[in-house]
Amino acid sequence: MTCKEIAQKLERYFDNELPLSEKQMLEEHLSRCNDCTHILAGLDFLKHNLAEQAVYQAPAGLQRKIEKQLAQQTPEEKPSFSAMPWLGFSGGVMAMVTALVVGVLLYLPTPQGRTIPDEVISAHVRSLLVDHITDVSSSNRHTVKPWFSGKLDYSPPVVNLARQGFTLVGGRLDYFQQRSISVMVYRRRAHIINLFIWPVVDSKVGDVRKLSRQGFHLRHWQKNGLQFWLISDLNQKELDSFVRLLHRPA
Amino acid sequence: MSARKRREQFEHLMLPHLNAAYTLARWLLRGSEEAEDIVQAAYTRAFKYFDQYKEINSKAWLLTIVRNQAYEWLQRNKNSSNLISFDEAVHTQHDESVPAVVGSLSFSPELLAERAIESEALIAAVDRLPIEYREVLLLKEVEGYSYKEIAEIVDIPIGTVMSRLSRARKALLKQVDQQLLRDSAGDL
Repeated sequence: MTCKEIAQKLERYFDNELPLSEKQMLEEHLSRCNDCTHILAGLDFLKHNLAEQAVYQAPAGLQRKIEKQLAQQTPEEKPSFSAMPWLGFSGGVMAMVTALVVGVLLYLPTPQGRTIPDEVISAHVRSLLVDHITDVSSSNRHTVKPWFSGKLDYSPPVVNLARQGFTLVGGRLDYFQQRSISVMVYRRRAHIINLFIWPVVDSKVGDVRKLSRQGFHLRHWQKNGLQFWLISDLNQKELDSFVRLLHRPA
Repeated sequence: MSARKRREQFEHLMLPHLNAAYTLARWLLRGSEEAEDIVQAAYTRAFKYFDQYKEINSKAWLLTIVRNQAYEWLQRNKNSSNLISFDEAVHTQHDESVPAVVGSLSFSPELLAERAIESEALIAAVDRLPIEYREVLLLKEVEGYSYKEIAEIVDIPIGTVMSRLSRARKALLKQVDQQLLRDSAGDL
């Protein structure tokens, strides 16, 4: 098959809409053709970026509004209010109130529906504003890792890369997407790096995704049933070397 | 079945789709407040017609209602910039192939993957697309629906789904490319 003929089927192949026989022919061609593979890379780039960055979380309170409305639509029922899903940050209420007040003035976006990157940035900024950024402060992974057991239903990986210039400052629990999750805190010179780790439902392994927003650089990947979101104002070059170190086999 | 039980069944089935519903509403309407209102109205309407619901795919059913609510809102608010009249025939002319578009980009896709595209830039690029392109892109790339499912939700023939999707991707690739060029120029 020529590249021109292939081109007409490429999108359907990408969308998994080609019958098996044609699919095999196309894959055969792709294994020999850089140009066509190249085009798939373009489609893939779009797909992943859209799925990653352009997905919103419904604003806080919308669900309750809907539930209230539904109850009103149901005869003989009083509206039921689900418990306020308040965020239980460790560090004390006062610290959090202060952080929120300051945060609203500085960085926190208005309470609209937000994407995961938005949420990661908010959580990162909040952590920088509060007085203690870690619940367990230690550079020793044998101290930090066990601290999480009993607090989470998964076991996050912990490494210390102090020799390479990325010091483990400690760990903390954070509340994110309606669940408790683990956060590892690292420092590179004066820059704080937060690494959010939580389980994923569909465990596909993909490349590291990159995005930048509001002056922060984020990196995102999945591995072994866990989702990793890394964020810092550290420059991208050094951040990427940190990512590579984190990907090294233990 | 008691009214309460019916409501609980509806909530159990439909509330898990809240983020998907909100995302679709945001993509179509762009603004956050409007999107919230539309999602609320959609759930209200879905609940009203719940007895007629016999689908297998609860999310697709709900998203169809969200989409209809969004379009009704856009009709009522005709001055919205969303309703640029979209002439499919016009867009059919000079239809470059995907390879041609990819070939014309300033950045190779591999390089694109290296350069983090700013979220704001990507969302801005999406926002510049006509609404017909935005909705098929979302339903395909974000929600992962098949051509057939998209055809049902949007109420167009499958062939139209394929051609719209193709044009949407080409348009977005070009937008992203231009955005990256502008960003690069800024770096200099």
